[in-house]
Amino acid sequence: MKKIIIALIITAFAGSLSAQSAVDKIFDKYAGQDGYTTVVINSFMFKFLSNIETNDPDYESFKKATQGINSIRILTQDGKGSKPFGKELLQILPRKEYEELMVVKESDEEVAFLVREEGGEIVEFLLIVSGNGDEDALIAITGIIDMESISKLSSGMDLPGMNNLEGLE
Amino acid sequence: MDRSDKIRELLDKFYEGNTSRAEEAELEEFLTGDEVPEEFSADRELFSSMAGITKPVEIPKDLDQKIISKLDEAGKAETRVRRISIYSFSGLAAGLLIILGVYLGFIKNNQNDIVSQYAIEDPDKAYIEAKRALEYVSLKWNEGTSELNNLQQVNKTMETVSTIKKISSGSREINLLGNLKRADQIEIQ
Repeated sequence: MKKIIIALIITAFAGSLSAQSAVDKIFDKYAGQDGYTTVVINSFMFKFLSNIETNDPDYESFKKATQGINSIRILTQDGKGSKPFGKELLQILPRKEYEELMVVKESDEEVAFLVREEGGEIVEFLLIVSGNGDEDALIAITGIIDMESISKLSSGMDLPGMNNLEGLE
Repeated sequence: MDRSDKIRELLDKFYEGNTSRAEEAELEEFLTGDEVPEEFSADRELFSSMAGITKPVEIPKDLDQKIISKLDEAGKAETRVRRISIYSFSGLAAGLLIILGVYLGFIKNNQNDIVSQYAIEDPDKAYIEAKRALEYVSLKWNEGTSELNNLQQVNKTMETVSTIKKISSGSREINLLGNLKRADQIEIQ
């Protein structure tokens, strides 16, 4: 009897460990389908990338921005006729866990930034581009995410209003 | 009376279980002997096969206790067997549950593998993709925050406006003072 109870606990524990998140569900549903591109960079690769030699002048800032990152998963629509998934994801995402940092609404699309915190640290970051066309995108980053370093990555790019931002915290 | 008749009579009694020890001995002696008529051949076989065991069996004095103790042992053995079977059943059930748990976990993990099968293995490509993704995040993030920045600039402009207002109201007061001074001069005159 004891063993059965222990086994039940173990089973339940194993079950809870492997419970799928909303993001996983979306990846499972659309990854590999026609009209979608999936890219995954896992923790092993990030460890490797933190120790390479390169001539890229952006490498140091890249290294700093990816220091705490465990994995990046990207899902994008790349073909016409594919169904946009952004709204579906926003619907099934448990809002108790994910906090909306910022939503930028444009005429044809909406860009949402969401984070999941654990113990006061951002452990998961989601960028969800949702629209009605074929340009929905999801970038899911796990690990300890340093938004300040990441925001500096595009500072080399030509972006209106960027100069003002450099001095801001 | 013919010997054979007597033997036949004795055999009838024997098969009915009514012979005495002496009569049985007589039957045995005759039937295990050399001259047995053909008609008694079946009986002869029976008696010769019984020849060794017709002696009374000695019953050991502690037979009953031996039997009781054997029974006790059998009882104990039986309960042990039952207990083992219960344990093995619970073990089996536990094992099945663990297998089930692992299996379910494996299925879920397999689903995760759908994602991990897209994991980039080429570091150069991974670097380019990671950089591109992060730059995209950065770009979108900065686009969003620059809107906030515009708001801040509006705020700053508002502050400037209010400063100008203060200055103008100050100059108005100076004008009033100037008027007062002029009035004083007129009074003195």
